[in-house]
Formats: sequence, C-alpha cells, structure tokens
Amino acid sequence: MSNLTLLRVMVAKEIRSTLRERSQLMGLMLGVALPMIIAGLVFYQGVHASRMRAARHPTSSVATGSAGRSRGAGAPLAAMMRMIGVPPELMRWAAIGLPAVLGVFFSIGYLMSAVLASFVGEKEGRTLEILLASPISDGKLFFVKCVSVLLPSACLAYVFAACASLAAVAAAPPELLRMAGSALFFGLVLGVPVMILPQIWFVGLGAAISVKAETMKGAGQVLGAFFMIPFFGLTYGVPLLLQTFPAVRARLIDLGKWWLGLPFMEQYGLALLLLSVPAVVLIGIGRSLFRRDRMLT
Amino acid sequence: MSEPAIRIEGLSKVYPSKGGVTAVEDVSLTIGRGEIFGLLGPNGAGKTTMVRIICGLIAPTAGTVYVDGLAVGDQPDAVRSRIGLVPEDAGDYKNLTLDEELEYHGAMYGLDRAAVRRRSGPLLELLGLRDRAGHRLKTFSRGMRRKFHLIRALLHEPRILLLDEPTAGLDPVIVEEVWDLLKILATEQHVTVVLCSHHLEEVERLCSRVAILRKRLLIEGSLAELSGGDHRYRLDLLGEAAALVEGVGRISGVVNVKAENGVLHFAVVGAIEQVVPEVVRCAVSGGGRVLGLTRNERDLRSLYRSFVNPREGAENGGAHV
Repeated sequence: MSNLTLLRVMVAKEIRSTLRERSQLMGLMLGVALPMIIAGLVFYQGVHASRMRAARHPTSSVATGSAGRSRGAGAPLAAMMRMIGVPPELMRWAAIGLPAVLGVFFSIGYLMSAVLASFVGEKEGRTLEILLASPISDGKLFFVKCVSVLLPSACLAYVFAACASLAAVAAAPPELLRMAGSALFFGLVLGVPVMILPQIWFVGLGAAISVKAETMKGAGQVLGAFFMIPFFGLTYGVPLLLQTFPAVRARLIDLGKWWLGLPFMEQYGLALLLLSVPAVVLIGIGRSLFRRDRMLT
Repeated sequence: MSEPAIRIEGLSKVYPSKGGVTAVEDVSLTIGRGEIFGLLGPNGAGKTTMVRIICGLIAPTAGTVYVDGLAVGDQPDAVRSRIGLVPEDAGDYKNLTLDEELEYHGAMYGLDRAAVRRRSGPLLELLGLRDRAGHRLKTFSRGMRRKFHLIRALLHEPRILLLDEPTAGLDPVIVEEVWDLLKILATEQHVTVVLCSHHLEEVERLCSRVAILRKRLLIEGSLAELSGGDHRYRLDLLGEAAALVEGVGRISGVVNVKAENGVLHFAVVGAIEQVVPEVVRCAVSGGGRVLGLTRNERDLRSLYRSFVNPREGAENGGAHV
C-alpha cells in the first residue's frame, strides 16, 4: 500500500471524525460558513452598489480614477485603507494579506481542535497505543498525521480566501484592482503559502505540546497561550519596544524601506522565507519530540 | 531447534520520569510458538510495561527482547507487524463505523479495503458482529467493543497476540466466545498468545504455561509443574502418625516427613508410582490404620496468593517453589 493510500485513509478518518463530532463541527462551521456569509454579503453589497451607480451614471466606468475611488463600490474599503495609511505600494499585499490573515484566523478554530484531537485526542481516547503498535515508523506516522490535519484546514482557508477574493473583486477600489492585476490571482495563488505556513506552525506546536499533554483541555490551554503570545506581542510588545528603543525603530524603518524597494516577487519570496522559518522549526520540534517511547511514559 | 516466539533476556525498566520507579527488574523468559502463556501479577507488577516493551512501544532500560528471532530494539517495525495488541483499556474511534475503523487500522498494516473485508469477514461472523459492520462504534456495548478490539488486533494476521485483560468486565457468554476464539487461534493457526489477566479461572482454562511477575519474575512453568511440582501428599490415619515418621523417612525418594495428629505429611522427589505405594505399605506394616491418601495439589489461586502475598500463602499451606 502506498503512502498516498495511507494518507487518503487518514484524511478520510479526520474528516469523518470532524463531521460527526459536534465540537469539531463547530470549528468547521466557523471556518467555512462564517467567511462565506461575510463574503456573500460583501459581494451582494458590491454588485448592488455597482448597479445603483450604473443606473445613476450610465457613462461612467469602473476605472475612472479618483471618481471611482470616492464613489464606487470599493469606496468604504479604499477609505479604510487610506485611514489605516496603507501606502499604494502595499496594495498588492492587501490583496494577498487580507484574505490570507482572515483565512488563517477563521480556519484556526478547526485547526486547533483537529490538531489536538489528532495527537492528544488519541491519548485521551486510548487509541494511541494501538496506533503506535502499528509497523509505521515514527517519522512517517508524524508526517502523515500532520498532513491529514493540515489538508482539510488548508482547504478551509482556501475556501475562505476564495470568498474573500471574490468579495474583493466586487468591492475593491479601482486602484487596488489596477495595481494587483487580479485580486483572485493574488488571493488564491500567492496567498495560499501565506495561509498555509502559519497553519504549519500550529500543527508543529500542537504536536509538540501533545507529546507531554494528557488531556485535550490541558493541551488546548497551552496552545491557546501560545496563540495569545504573538497577539499580545504585536499589540503591546512591539509598540513598547519601538517606543523604548528608538534605534530599533529607526533600524526597522530602514529595513521596511529596503524591503519596499525590492521588486514585488523578491518581497514575496522574503516573506515566505520568514514564514517558513518558524514552520520548519516548530515542525522539527514536534517531530523530534514525537517518539514512541516518549508518548506512553 | 526453532526460535521461540518470544525470548526475553535480563529485561529491566526504570521510569526516570516517574521518580525512578522500577517497573520490571531482570526478567528472563521464553515463550514457545502456538502457546497460550499466562502473565500474572498484582496491579503495578510490570505486566503492561512488559507488553509495551515486547511491542517496541517503550525502550527497556536493560536487557533484550527477541520476537521471532528479531531484536525489538533493532527491527521494531518488523516486530510490530508480527504482533497484535489488545491493551487493557483500549479505545476506538467512536464516530467511525466498525468497517471504517477496520479500514483505517488495516491501512496502518498496508492492507487495502478488499483485504480488510476478506480478513475481517470470518472474524466478524465468528464473534457475531457481522450485522454491526455499518454501525458507529459509539453505539456498541462494552462486550461488543471488546470483541471488536480482538478482531482489530487479528486483522493483519499476527503471529503473536498480546492481550491485556481481554475479558475484564464481560458477561460469561462473551467470555466463552473469546476463550473459544483464543483456543482456535493457538491450536489451529499456531498463534502465540500472551495473556495478562487477573482472571485466574481464565488462565487455568486457557494457558499451558504461566509466569507470576512482581517486578521480578517470581515463578514460571506449566500449571502442572507449578501446582504439583513437589508432589506433596497427606496420609490420613486412625490414631497418631508420629510413630511412622522414622520408617517412612527412610524410604528412598521421600522427603519432608511430618506428623500432625492423625495425618502424615510427606513429599516425593522420585518416581511417584513406586514411592507412594511403598509409603502406604510401610505405614500399614508399621501398624498404621490408613483411612485415605490425598495429593496436595495447589490450585492457581493458592499458588498466586502464596507468591503475591507470601504471608497469606503460608497460612494457606502454600510455599515458595
């Protein structure tokens, strides 16, 4: 039997377990239904506004420069971007980053419950011993489990990205569309790695925590704490750091300017590299801890 | 001579993470092919640790385990493919159906869906779970789940079956079904079964050899050897037996002669078919009026007690072999 068949069976098991387990189903609903509803509403609002505009100004086109920006369907989004202070050269990143960040955020509910169920849940459900008694090597077992959790989660994030991109097409300001070329392209093709790499962080982290944790509740608390650390770090820690150490702030601004000066694909490659490092480190930690003789003692 | 199914040499396990607790200490054991071997011991005696070491789930602190001649530490995956495991508190994926979980479990052993169906069919039929194949496991009773655990462990046709309390908490009818299955496996398919159990009747009914473990291996042998290994007898007489002690004690092959009111206790170390009649003749010729002769066989329960709780065993007439 090939590794792919083993993977297929494990993914099928994860999906069946999710669809039949109420708590995991809630995560799934949060990951799919909510973004689709939001996207649907935004899309509807965008189409409706376009029709209204066309009815009022039959000669105007979408690409009418500042007029479109101020009055079109994307006016609220454009206004929000200006308010946030997003420079025009970062508009491409808005097309990738917004769906990607929201995709990760909304699929994280499913991902967290799935990764804990896949590792600690096996301990709690007393199925781990049977699983470990199979003739599959530690490494293969670890990676197959990781992928079987990651695949549905990545699909969820992708569904969300599709919804968000669709909404962006309908509601985006003309300058965003012009600069990006295609929001769908940026959101769905370039956004995928940006969505998946942070998910790999959580899988690696969840696997590492699972080795020591005995219950899903305990592991969930630890994983939640890890989830909150970057959140508080970004909202409180970074501003404090920049305020306290002006030299660091100046250095970061220089770094930002240098990064913005790079061609877009180099920016993108560098961003992927930065996202990949924690993914590799955390998966590596999870893999090194995932050893049969540690799981049952 | 063929390699035994399981050979354990000087096995020890210390858990540093549990404050240096010694679970198993210097255990050596050999289990033959097609044998049903009973592993007895009180809670915390190290039975589960031994089973896990045999499966390669945990590494021993010292010693080596060979399964089918393969060292577990050197070829753990090859060893695991030969073993079927039913842990004491085994779980299952309650949201999957029986068929789905068998397919999932089969995939772990490289079996495709067709092979799983082919192999599980007769087992489901034998244990009466055929009509439950499409039902979710959370709807199963404890007995049905336990039978399912056995089927799951047998799916890849293991040569060695490790069972930890396979019938604990089951009703007598299911227990009989499980016992029948184990007998069939051992006698017809030459599967080696290691049975960890507190159910002594089960061990007496099924096992050809037993070992009692309490961190160290206290005793090991066939039930016949353990229960009557020293061939102890009691001769009931009318009147005092003390006068016969000297005469009986002189018979070759007779040891440990003791008189206790009207009872003469003795043990035979030689050929019992010659020595025992000689003792009776000696007693009769010495003036003793023989009322009866009884062989003091210890059943597994008293033997177990004598080892696990030596004081209680001594009070019950038990002794260390």
